[in-house]
Amino acid sequence: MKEQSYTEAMARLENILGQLEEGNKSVDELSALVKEAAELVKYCRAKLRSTESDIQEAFQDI
Amino acid sequence: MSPLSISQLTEQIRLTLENELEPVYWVVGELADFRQAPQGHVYFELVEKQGNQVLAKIRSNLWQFTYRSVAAKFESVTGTSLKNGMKVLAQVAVNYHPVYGLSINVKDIDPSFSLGERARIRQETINRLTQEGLLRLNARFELPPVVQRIAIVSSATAAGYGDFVNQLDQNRYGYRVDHRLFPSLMQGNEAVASLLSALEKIKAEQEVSRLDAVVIIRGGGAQLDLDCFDDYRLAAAIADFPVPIFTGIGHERDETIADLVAHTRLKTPTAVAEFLLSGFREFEENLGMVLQRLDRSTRQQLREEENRIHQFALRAKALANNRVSLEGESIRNRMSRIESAAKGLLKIQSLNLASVEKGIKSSSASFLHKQQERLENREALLRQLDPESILRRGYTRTELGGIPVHLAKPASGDELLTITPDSRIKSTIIQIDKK
Repeated sequence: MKEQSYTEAMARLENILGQLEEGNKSVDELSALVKEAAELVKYCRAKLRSTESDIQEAFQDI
Repeated sequence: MSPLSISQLTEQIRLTLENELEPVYWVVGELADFRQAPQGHVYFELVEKQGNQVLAKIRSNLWQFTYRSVAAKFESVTGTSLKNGMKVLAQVAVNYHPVYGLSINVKDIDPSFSLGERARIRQETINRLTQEGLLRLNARFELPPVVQRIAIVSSATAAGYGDFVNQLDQNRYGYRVDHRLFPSLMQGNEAVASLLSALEKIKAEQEVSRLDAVVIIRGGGAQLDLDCFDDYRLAAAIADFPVPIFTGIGHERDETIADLVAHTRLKTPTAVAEFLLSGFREFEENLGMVLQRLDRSTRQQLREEENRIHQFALRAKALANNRVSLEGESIRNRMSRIESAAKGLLKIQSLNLASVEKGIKSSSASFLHKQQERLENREALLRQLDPESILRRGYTRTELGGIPVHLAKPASGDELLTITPDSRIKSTIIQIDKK
């Protein structure tokens, strides 16, 4: 995952929610979007609690 | 006129001054070269300036006893101590000393004049900042949702700094705030220069450190001597700073000018820390809500999808059922056609059979009848052929050895049996004439 600011992360989350709430996504797309959103939330929560270098290390494999 | 000694002259001056001058005057002047001697007396100059040019100045003394009460009153009213550059309204007595020359003794200082004066200067500074478009310049920045990397401008030894850092580091949510101290004097004559140099350092490193905000804090300690935060140069530097600046200067009186130009102004360092952490909390709460919405919309989507599949299944089932029942109908239809066709056939067959039967009956009857007739004819014929009747009509039967004589080979001498209706005659052949 590339480094994202909180603003970017939240904007992407809102974007994903918008797409989901429109309800015109296929189940395949849905699954990918939900996964991405969950990763974003996880990323943000981790970032709130650690320095950026910690984050980069933690998410190296993702 | 014989020459005077110096003391005679100075005495002359002293007398003249004493006669000509009022015992006290109220004068307005700017404090300069202000210093306190070890014994507690205070020495300074009262200056009148026009711009940077000194028009007049006079040496001034403030004796320890007077200074104590004057300073205490001044500080309680203005919130600041007497210092260089300050314009004061002072009650003075002119004093002339033959050795030390002319000076004035300050008897009193009217703090409300300085207060007004400071307000005027403050207003001028505000007006200037406004005209130069600096007043809300720093406020143009949009704060990131989470302010996580900050530079702190404070005095390392201030209680406020320790509390602030502690509050950030020990927050109960476990949020991580990256902070770095840029030490600065926070009061006194050197404070402005020190603050400006700290800000310069931060600015120089911004490229690398990519800070979200700068926090200027000053907690604890005396409420006095906040004048450095009213300084135009500091205000201009804050206004024009490339990242948002927070203030938590910790004072009771009206906002300082630094507060006015800062992006976000908070009363105390504690309030700044709380504000920063509340940004984290709010962001995390938003994340929680996003998760909830995500969960809800995903479930809904899946429900809808399931519904759709269910509807498909129902439709497929209905279509299949429909098809099956149509097929059934058509099969039944065919069966009934077969049945009725078969019945028709049977009926025809049975009709045929009946007519055949009838034919057989009638033909057999007529056959029997004919046979009867024939039999009767034969009977009649038979009756005619009956040897008895033939015999009665005069004919006889002659046998040779049991065989009718015309079938046997009679020879002379053979015994013939002639049968009549009422007798059996034996004879011997005498002669045979062939026809």
